[in-house]
This record gives sequence, C-alpha cells and structure tokens, in this order.
Amino acid sequence: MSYSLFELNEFIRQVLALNLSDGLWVRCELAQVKHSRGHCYLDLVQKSENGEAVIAQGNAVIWAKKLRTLRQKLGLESDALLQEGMEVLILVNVEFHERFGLKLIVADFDPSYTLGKLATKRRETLMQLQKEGLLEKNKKFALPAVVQRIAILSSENAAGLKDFLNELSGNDFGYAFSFHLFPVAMQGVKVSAEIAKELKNIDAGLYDVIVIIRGGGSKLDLAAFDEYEICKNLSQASLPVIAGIGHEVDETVLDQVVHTSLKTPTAVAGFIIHHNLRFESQIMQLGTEVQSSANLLLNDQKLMLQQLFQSVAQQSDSELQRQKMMLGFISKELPSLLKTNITSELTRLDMLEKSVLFLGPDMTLRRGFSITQKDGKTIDNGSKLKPGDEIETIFLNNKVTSIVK
Amino acid sequence: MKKKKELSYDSALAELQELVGQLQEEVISMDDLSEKAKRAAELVKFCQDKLRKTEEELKGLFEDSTT
Repeated sequence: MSYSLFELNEFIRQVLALNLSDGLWVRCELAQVKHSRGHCYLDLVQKSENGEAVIAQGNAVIWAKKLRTLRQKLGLESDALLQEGMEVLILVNVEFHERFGLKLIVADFDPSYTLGKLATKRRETLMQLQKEGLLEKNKKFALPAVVQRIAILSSENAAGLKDFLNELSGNDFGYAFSFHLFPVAMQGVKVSAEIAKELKNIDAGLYDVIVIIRGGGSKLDLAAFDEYEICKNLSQASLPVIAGIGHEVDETVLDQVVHTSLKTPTAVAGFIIHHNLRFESQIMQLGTEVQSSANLLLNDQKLMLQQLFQSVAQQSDSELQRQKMMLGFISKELPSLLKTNITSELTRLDMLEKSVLFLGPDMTLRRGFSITQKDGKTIDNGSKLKPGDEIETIFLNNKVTSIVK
Repeated sequence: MKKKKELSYDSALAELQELVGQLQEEVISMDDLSEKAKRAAELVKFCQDKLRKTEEELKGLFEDSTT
C-alpha cells in the first residue's frame, strides 16, 4: 500500500492539528526579518549554549492584519522588537499546508521577555567592559577649553540632528561651530558595524569632540547601544565622546562608556555652549584680574617714585645746606685768619728789630767802648795806623778827632 | 696763580680748604699772602655761585613731579 504525497501531507496536517491545536509560546532568536505586502516574514533560529551553532530553525509569519493589531497594542516597541538578532518570546499557531509545508503563524509576542534578555545581556556587557577598564577610558579625556569642531555620528534623517544643529548655530553668544556628519544607522543591526567604520574615518586632529546623537525612539531601539562592540569602539575613540541618544528613563551601556552622556541632542548642544561660555567667562575674569593687578602695580610704582623724588629733593637740599654752612664758615674765618697771619708776621718783624738793636754798636758804646775810624773806615788793629794819621774816635753821643804820634 | 679752565665745585672746595689749612699753620710767605687771599675769596665766590645755581635748578626740578 502506498500514499500519494497529498495524502501524506494531509495526514501530517491532521496529526499536527490534533496535537497542536492551541497556540504555543516559543522562545527563539530572529535570524532574519522581511516585510512584504504588509506581511512580516521571520526566520527563527535557536543557537547552542556557546552561541555559535544553530541547533533549530523555522519560518514564521505575521500576517498584515495581525501586524496592525500588534502595532496598535505595542506601539513603537513592535518594530523595535522585530529586528534581526532579537531574542523573542512569541505565541505561535503551528500550521501545516499540504502544498506550502510547515509554517508558524504569529499571534502575539511578549516584549518583556526580550527586554529581560536585553537587560541580562546588558549587565554582561557592562561587566565585560568594566573588567577591561573601558568604562572610564573615554572619561579620562579632558574636553578642550573651547569646543568648536564637532564630528557628528548620526543618521542624516535622525530627528535630533536638526535640533542639534539649530541649537548650536543659533546660540545666543555668537559662538562659531564647524560640523562634519559621519552618517551611520542609528537603529537596527547595522549600527555597530557602521559606527566602527565611521569612527576610523574621524581624524582626531581635525575635531574637538565626537558627538553621537539621535532623536527619541523605543526602548528596544536603544538595544543597539548596549552592544559590546559599539561600546568598546566608542570607549576607545581618539576624542572625547558626548552622547545624546534620546531617552528619558534608562541609560544604555553606551551612556556609561562615553565622556559625557546627556538625554537629548538639544541637551548636548546646550552642554557645549555652556562649556564654551564657562571658558569665556573665565577669560573675562582673568582679564579683570590682570587689569586690577596692573593698576595696583602701577600705583605702587607711582608711590615709590614719588617717595624717591621727595627723598632726592630732601637729600639734595640738605647736602646743599651743608655745603653752604661749610662755605659760610670758611668765608667768615678767612679775614681773621689773614689778619692773624699778618699779625704774626708783624710780631716776628718786631722781634727781629729788637735783635738788631741788641746786637748793634749802640749797646757797646753805652758800656764805655768807642770806635776808631780813619777816613770813615773802622780800624780794628792799631798797627794799621802810622804817626801823623788823623783818626776819629766815636763815642755814644759824640766823636773826637785826633793825630797819631 | 693760574686760573684752571673748568673749575669744579669739588676741586674749588679742596683748594680752598688747603688754603685755609696753610693759613692756619701760617706757612704762607708774605709775598704770596695777598695773592692767596684773593684766590681764596675768588674760590668762595665760585662755590657760592655754584651752590646758588644748584639750588635754583633743584627747585625747578621737583616742583613739577611732586604735584
């Protein structure tokens, strides 16, 4: 006995329908997600414990109508959840069609399962980064005193990019900025690889900071920023990284590895402006200090100079007075000194006169001696005279003439 | 005594002091006394003039800067 293929497939369908009549909750990973004509086709896999080998595989579909219902129910999360690489818990009905084979029809999914998985993965990533010392690495950069040249990692059509550029360009202080956008996907599976690639294109010498920004999105959208690779690459960037990836509640791992993390792109812009403003006010403060120090110094010098002037004036004056006094003294003394000199000369003359008198012939004559002269010449020896010579004998008061015999 | 070309206050004063010293010690010959007295008077006048002039100059110098 044999069966036609249809009969076999019909039998399989009946067996399945009997045994798997209700929906089943299934845990798996989304290997591929494709949208077509409003339907969503999923390739499901289960990997081995070490995460390498695929140990189970299957196909699932979310029909367009169901997809709309789910979107209404879960909002943005539904699209964020339906991404390649997501671990999901889905409610499926197992269907077997004689011609198209086995297919899992998705009836619902549980985002909290995915979030839980992500949270676990996130903790592991954090621990790994911490172990490698990468959580603090980017924070060790000092922001330049002025941030003006900005490398932007964002998607060209990211909601926050325009806000960011507007906020910076229209700042109240007239600070100039230059921007360079390094376009990267900000959601989905490409985020990690594109950021890794663009980070390499950023020349550290040309920019002050790297800014990574995007507008708001669902919590699951942010899952990309919990990935180990992306966080590792950003932590090892050659410039300080400022993040504003649009979230209100939870921080992603990325927020913890970057230099500065802020909630929104607008907040990042505000932070940069404020940073520059602080520098400017410091400069102005320093300017004021320089001015007042200079004034102080100038006044000190003025005072000192004035004192020096006064002291020079006083010293010169007193020296002048001293010289005057000395000169006055000398000129006053001069006449009397001259007089003294003349007087003592007179005294000496007087004494000389007396000596002359004392040693002269008068004193001898007075004592009874006389002087004998012949023809006006004094005769000091009698043998010089001959008889008949006429001589003169001089006494004190008169003289006598006589003839030698 | 010859008159020097550029007489300074210091050298004038030194000469004057030497003259006074000589007068005090009475070592000047009478022949020179009158001439030396004249020289002394001349030196006194020179020094006085110099001091007066200096005084005038100083007055002008510090009037401006101390105001």
